[in-house]
Amino acid sequence: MNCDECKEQLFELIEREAVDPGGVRAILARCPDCRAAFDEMKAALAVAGQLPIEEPSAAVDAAVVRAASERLPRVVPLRKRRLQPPPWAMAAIALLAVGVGVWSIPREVQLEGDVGSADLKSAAAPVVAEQELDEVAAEALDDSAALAELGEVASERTAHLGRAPRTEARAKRASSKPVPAKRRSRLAAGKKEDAQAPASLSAADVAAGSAEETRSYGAASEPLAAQKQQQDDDGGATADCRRKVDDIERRARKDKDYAPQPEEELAIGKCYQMLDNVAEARKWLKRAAAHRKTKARAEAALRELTPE
Amino acid sequence: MSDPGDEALLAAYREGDLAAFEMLLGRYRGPIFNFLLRSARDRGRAEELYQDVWMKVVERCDEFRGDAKFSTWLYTIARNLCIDHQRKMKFRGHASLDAPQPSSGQPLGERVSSFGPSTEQLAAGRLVGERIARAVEGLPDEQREVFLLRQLQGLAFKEIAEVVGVSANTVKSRMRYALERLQHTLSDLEEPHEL
Repeated sequence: MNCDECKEQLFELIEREAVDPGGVRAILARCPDCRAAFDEMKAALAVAGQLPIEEPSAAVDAAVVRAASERLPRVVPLRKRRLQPPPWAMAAIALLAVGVGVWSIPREVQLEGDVGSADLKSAAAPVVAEQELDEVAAEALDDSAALAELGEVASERTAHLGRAPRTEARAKRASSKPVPAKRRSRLAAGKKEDAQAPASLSAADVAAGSAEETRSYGAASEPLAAQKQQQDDDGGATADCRRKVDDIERRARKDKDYAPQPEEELAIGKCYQMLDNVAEARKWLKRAAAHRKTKARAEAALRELTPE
Repeated sequence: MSDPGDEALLAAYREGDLAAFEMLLGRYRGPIFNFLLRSARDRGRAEELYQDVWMKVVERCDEFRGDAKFSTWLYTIARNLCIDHQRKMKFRGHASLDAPQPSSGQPLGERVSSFGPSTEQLAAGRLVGERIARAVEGLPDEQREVFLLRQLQGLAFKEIAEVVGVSANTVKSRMRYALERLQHTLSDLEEPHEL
C-alpha cells in the first residue's frame, strides 16, 4: 500500500470499514504526511459531530399525528372486524342474492323448453373456433325477424352481460336452420384435431356450443323474453347498481382494510335510492356528503329523497 | 423485551394502531427534521417539508412492502421532497449558497462560514454550532446529503447508497470530500485529537 491508497482509506479506517486496516495503520506509523491527514480528518469528524440538532415544533408534530389518525379507516379490533363484515358489504350480498335469484329462474324454464342441457354439453365438448361459430350463427340470424325485435334493448343489455343473451338467441334461432354445406365443411375441417368431433354439425349444435361457452363465463344467460321483461322492470339501472356493488364487494374481499371511497359511497346511496330503500340511501348519501368531492351530488340526491 | 422494529410499527399503524405511528415519529422526528433543515436552510420550509414527508408516509404506508428498511424508505421520501423543493427554489431564482457572489466572487456558504468570529470569541457553543451548521449547509448537495445521512441517522454506507441511488464506494468518496471541505472551512475550530 502506498500513501495515496492509505489516504483514500483514512475515512474508512475511522469508520472501521477499511479494506486493509493493518496496512493503513502501518503507513500512518511511518509517514508523517499520512498521519497529519488522518488527524485532520478525525478532527473534522469531531467538529462535525457538534452540528446542532434542532427539534420540529410541537404544533407540526401534532398536525402530523392528527393527519395520521384521520387516515385510519376505523379503530376496531382486527378480530372483531373479521367477524363482523361492514354493513355495506352485507347490503351488497343481499342485493346480489336477489339479483341472482331473479336471473336464474327464467333461464331454467327456457332451457327446459329449448335445447337440452345434454345437447348443449355435447355440442360444447368439441372446441370450435369461436369466430367461426359466431359467423355461422350470425348468418342464421341475419334474416331473422327476431334480430330486429332485439333492437336496442338487447344491445344495451349485452353491454353489461357479456355476449350471453345474443349467443343464446343465436342458438335458439339457428336450431331451425341448417348450416350451409360450405360452412359445415369449414367447421368440420377446423375440428379435425378433435377425435370426438362429429363429422357434421347442425347449426343448432354449433350455436348451442357457443351459448354453452358463454354460459361458462359465469354471465347470466337468461332468455330474451325474461330479459326484456326485466329490462322493462328496472330499466337496466338495477343491473348497473348490482354491478357497482358487486365490484365494491369484490375489492372488499381482496383487501380486508378496504373502505369505500366517497364516489362509491355515493354510488351505493344512489342504488338504494333507486331501489326505494330510503333509510339505507340516506345513510350512504350522508356519508358521501361528508366528503368535499361528493358533497354537492350527495346533497342533491338527499334532497330528492322523501323527508325523514 | 426489545423494542419493535420500524417495519413492525408501520405494519401496526396500518392495522389501526396510532400509538405505533407516534413511536415511529418519535424515533425519526429529530434526524429527519435536521436532514430537511440543513437541506432547505430555512426552518419554516424545513417544517413544511417535514410535514410533507410524514404525510407521504401516511398516504403511502400501504405501498411499503418491506423490501427495503423503513429508514431507507423514509429518507428516500425526504430526499425526493428536498430535491423537488430545491428545483422550485432554483426556478424562483433564489441565491444558491454554492454560487459565487457578485460582490466577492466567493460562494455565500464559504463566506458565511469563513468570516465568522474566532474560536475564542465564540465562547457560546451556540455560535460554534451555528458556524458548523452554515458550513454543512454550504456543502454541495450530493456531499451534504451523504454527510447528513451518515452523521444524523448513522445509516450504513450501503443504505445511504440505496437512498441516494449510487454505489457504496461513491457514497464513501462523497463523505470523504464533505469532510475535507468541512475540515478546510472549520479548521480554526479544530483541536488536535489523539489517534
